[in-house]
Parts: sequence; structure tokens; C-alpha cells
Amino acid sequence: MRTIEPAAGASPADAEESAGALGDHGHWQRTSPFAVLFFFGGVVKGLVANATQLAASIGTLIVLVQQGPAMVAWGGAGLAAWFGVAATLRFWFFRYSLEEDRVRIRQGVLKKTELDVQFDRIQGVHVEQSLIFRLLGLVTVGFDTAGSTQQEGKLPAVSPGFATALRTRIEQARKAQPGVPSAFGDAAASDAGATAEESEPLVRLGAADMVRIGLADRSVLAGLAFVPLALQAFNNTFREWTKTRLEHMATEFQELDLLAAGLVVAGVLTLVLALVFAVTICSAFLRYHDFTLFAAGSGNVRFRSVRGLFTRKETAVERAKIQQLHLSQGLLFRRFGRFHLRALPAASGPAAGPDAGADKVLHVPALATEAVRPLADKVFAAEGERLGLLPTEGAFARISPAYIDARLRAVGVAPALVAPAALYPYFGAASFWCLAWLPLAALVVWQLWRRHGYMHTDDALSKRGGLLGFTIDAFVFRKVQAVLVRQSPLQRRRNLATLYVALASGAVKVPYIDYAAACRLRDYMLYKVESSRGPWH
Amino acid sequence: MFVNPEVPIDSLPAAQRVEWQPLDPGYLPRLLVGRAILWLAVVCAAGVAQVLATRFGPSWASHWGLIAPAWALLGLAAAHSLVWPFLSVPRQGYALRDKDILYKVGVLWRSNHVVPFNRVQHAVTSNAPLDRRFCLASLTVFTAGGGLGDMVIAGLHEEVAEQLCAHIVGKLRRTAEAESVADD
Repeated sequence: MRTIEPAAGASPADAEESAGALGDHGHWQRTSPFAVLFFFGGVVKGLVANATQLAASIGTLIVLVQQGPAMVAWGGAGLAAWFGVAATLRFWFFRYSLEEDRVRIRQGVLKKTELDVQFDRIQGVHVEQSLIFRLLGLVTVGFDTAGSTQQEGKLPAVSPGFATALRTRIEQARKAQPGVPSAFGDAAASDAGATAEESEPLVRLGAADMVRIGLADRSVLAGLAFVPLALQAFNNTFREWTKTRLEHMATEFQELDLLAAGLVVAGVLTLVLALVFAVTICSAFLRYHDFTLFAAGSGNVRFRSVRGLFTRKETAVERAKIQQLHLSQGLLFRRFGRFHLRALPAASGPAAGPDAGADKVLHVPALATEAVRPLADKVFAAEGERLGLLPTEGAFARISPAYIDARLRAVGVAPALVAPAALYPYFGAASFWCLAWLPLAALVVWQLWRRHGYMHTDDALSKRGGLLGFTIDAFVFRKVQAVLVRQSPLQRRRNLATLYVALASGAVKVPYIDYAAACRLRDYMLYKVESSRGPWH
Repeated sequence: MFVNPEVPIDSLPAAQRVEWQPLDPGYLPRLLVGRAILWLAVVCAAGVAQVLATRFGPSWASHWGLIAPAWALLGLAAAHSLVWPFLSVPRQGYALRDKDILYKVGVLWRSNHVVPFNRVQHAVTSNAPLDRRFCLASLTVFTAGGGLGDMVIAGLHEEVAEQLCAHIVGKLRRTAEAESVADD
């Protein structure tokens, strides 16, 4: 079998250490028996993800509850035994084989699958450490490639030394191939967390940021929507108790004056809100505690983020793989002066689904406004100079006011006319209240138009959007995959067009701009793409 | 010595000024035959459904006040489906340049799609049985952008589709070799 030559920058000692940590290559191996825990989690997650199975499980649980506590205990034990057997079988049939230029993973109990990932296709190696694995000193290593939306393969329950050695091996294999850029920059040959350049983190989030993330979490709204349902469920379970208490409270409530009653209602609402925010803040701590973003290397910078309270997650993406920067800022984040930044690599954008490739995306959940530019400079380097990345900076050109006209016709006028006509037979004159939608829609569309804007430099484009908050999408022309100019009948009449730019991470849409400007931008982007000799990823 | 001359924007080749190639003349009859077969099947299914509803369904299901508008809607949809190709096919076209491929489509909403060859991942030709009867094929050009980035040109003559595919694959190979040399 061919011996792997150490890469430039990696000493022979590194290579020997790497080979030692990885063990025999070319042979099918099992990971640590503790991988059963990983597969156990996988079985539970699979069950939760499958709504049909979950509904059946809940139905079974209800039947067991009706049968009595003994049956619940037996049912629980049976379920745990089933999960244990399934996890053990999955572990038993899981094998991996490391070869000089690829990793092969064979798995499956009934349906067998064999994954063959060449090292030169790997975009990033992600390391995850759950609480149990932290106690056991083990990690789970995941790989992803440009063409996949999810991590393509995972090796559970391996040692951190193995993960580092595997990373080194992948880098060596990539460097041995002509024309393949370094996957992990200059820092790859050394330990992921111990380079001198990484000792200074680019971004670090503290407890105050966790609170900000929790407060700005949109799931607060979903949580509030569930409050009545939760109260209903609570009432159903403890009907008698709540009835007595409520009657008692109602008697006391009637005796209160208006101010005191208002204070009681406000107090209850504050308590509910506090509970919901407490949950989201705890969730932020769980997901992002001690979030640190490192940047290593000078040329092809490698970004590495670590985060998590119990399960520590590490995401590593190199600069060359990042296709697009997406910044978003809701109302609260505007107040806090923070942005949510996502650096999207290939096949990770909205086109691939909201959660597609979530593990591949490098994201900073609360980036201070003043830290946006330094981070963007590291991502875009010289190509991002003078590019507007903050909603208020740079000369964002407004899109045409015809946008308001077109949107208002579609989402304002049409529903406002159709709804009263359709509802009149049932609600009579009251159906004309639907016309109140028109000014509201006009306000929303006008606000959307105000937010929309774009600006570009010689090398990059930045597009602004949003409704109450802001979103910014920025990319360099060199990474464009295809360009599309589309005109609706209204746009043709007014000599306007919508420009769609397809990137490997999704599409960016610049609506209602001058047709000639759209064509010029398209031709210029094509020129930049077609005259570029460098790889786009 | 490194030079970086300024590029006048007006001198860039304009994608809207290319000479568009029309689709194969057999594409229009192929669409009409395909849609006629489809609508024949739909009309037969609707007829069977009406007979069953009249015989076994509730009384309101056999009321002509319901059936007549349903058939009228079906007729309108079929007429639209059969007439639309006469408008849409002449407005479709493709163009091949040295460094990219262009495709225009649309009657009301008109799109002009450009894919540079150095961003193409692979190209595929395909044809359904009815396409083969009319010697037609579709060319699909895949980019890493997926979805909006991919380009599908239907209604090409089989030979033209194969030639285009071979041309694009050849371009891909040459681009990869050039990049490899540049990296070396």
C-alpha cells in the first residue's frame, strides 16, 4: 500500500503521529463500543422525526396510562429494550475503513449502505461532543462535501486525537493532489485548537449575548401561541383544583378596583412572558454557551467555531468554501446593535431547505455591529472592500417604486376586493371590514420597498431587504453559478426587470431594477466569472 | 509584469444581443400530441367519474348546475393547454457563446438565463418515448447552484442535443485542465 508523503508544512513526526492515531488503514474497523450511545440517540431522534411513528407512540402511551402505572413501567422498559437492541445492531453493523485517499463507511442492519468519500471532495470536518461523550473523552466526527446538503458521513465515539489525525490525513491527501486547494488552510497540519494564530479569537460571546439571543429568539412567538393550549391542557388535567382556585381568585378579583385588576392581569402576563423568555434564554445557553470563533491562516483563512453548554459543537469552514454572507437583524437585535451572521458554503441556502446543511453553515448568533466589517474582510478579503454590509452604510440604491404598485395589486387590492364579495352572503355588510386590509397591506408593501436596496463594487454585490428588521446578502461575483433576468408584463411596460443570481448556496434576488442596469450587471458578472481562473470553492 | 487594465463596461458582450437559435420545428407538434393524449385521459376519467357520481352518488352530484361549470372549466383548461404552445414555443430559444450558454423562455413572464461553462458541473440529455418519436431530446445543464442555477432546454433535435452536450463536456474538460495548469 502506498505510503502517504507528509504535506508541506507537516513534519514527518506529524505524519507518523497521524498514522499511529488512525490505526490500520485499508481495514474495516469498528469505533468504540460507546458508539452505541450515539446510535441510541439516533434511534430516538429518528422516532421523533417521524411524525407517524410518534403519533403511534403517543397513542400507545395513552392506552398504557389508562391501563395503570405498572403497564406504563412495562411499556417504558420494553421501549428502552427495543431502542437498546436497535442501537446495538446499528453499532454492530457499522464499519469504517480509512484508505490513503478516502474514507469508507459501511452501515445498515437490513438496508446496507456503503459511503465512499474521497478526501479531496471533503469541504469540512466537524467535531461534536455530547455531554456523555465529554465524560467519556470521545467525539463524533462528521464530513461534508460540496454536493451534499447534510453531513455526508459520521464517525461516532472516536478519540479527539483520532479526529485531529484524520484532519491531518485529509489535508495531506488534498495537498498531494495537484490543483486542489488546501482544505484547512495553514493551520490544518497542527492541532485544531492549539495554533498560535487561533489563540486570539475573532468573536467571543458572553452571558449577556446569550440573554440577547434568548430575548430575540423568534420561537418566543411560537411559545406564546402555545400558552393557551398549555393552559387548556393544564386545566383538563387539574380541572377540580383549578376550578376551586379560579373561583376563589374571581371572588377576590371582583373585590379589586380597576387599577388593582389591571395590575394583576399585567402581572400574570409578565409572568408568562418571563417564563417563555427564561426558556429561550436557557435554550441560547444550551446552544451557544462559550461561543468562540477563531480564524487561522493568512491566505485561505480557516474559520472554526466552538459552542454549546453540554453538547460541544465545532464547525470548521475555510474561506474559499464560503459562497455568501447572510446578515439578519430583527427589531430587538437593532436595539442591541447585534446581527445574526451566517456564512453559507455550497448547498446550504434556502433552496435546500431552512435546516438543510445547518451543520455546514458557520454562523455567529449575535455579532456586534462593529465586528461585522472585520469578519467580512476576512471572508471577502480585498474583493469585499467598499461593499456595504450594514443596512445604514454604503450607498444602497433603492429599487423602483413600481415594486409597490405590483405587490399592492397582488397582496393588497386583489384580496381586499375578493374577500368582501366572497364573504358578503355570510356576513353581510360586516364583510366590508376586509377593505381595512388595503391600508395595512399598503403600509407593509411600502416598508418592504423602503428596505429593499442593492449596491455593488467591482467585485461584489450586497442586497438589502427585510420588513421590520434588516437582511443583507453579500457575495463576490467570482462565485456566481448562473444569472437570470426576468421581466413580468408590468416590468416590461416600465422597462424594469428582476435579477436572479444563482450561487452554490442559494439564489439572491434583486427585484424591480432598471432593465438596462440588470443587463449590465448580468454581463459584468458573467465577465468576472468567465475571466476568473481561480476555483470558486 | 502584472497588468490590470480597466475594462469599459460598454465593451462587454451583451447577452441580450445574441442571435437566438429556435427550438426544433418538431417540438410544437410533440407538445400538442402529448397534451392531447393527456387531456383525452383526463376527459375520459372525468366522464367515468360523472357516470359513477350520477349512478351511485348523492343527488346534488348529478345536478347540471354543478356538472356544466365543471366541464366548462375543464374545456377552458384544455383549450389553454393546447393553444399556449403556439405562443410559447416561438418565444423560446438558445444561444451558444464561447464561454457560456443562454436560454430564453416565457410569454408573459420572460426570462433570460445564462450559465457560464466554467460553472457547469455536468450536462445530461434525456428523451421520453414521445420525444424519441419526434427525434427530440432535452438538454439539462447542472451547476452547483441547483434549482435556479440549472438550465433545461427542451425541444432540441436529438443530434443537436448530443452535440451541445458533447461541446459542454469538452469545455468542462478544457476548463479543468486550464485550472490545473494555472494552479501548477
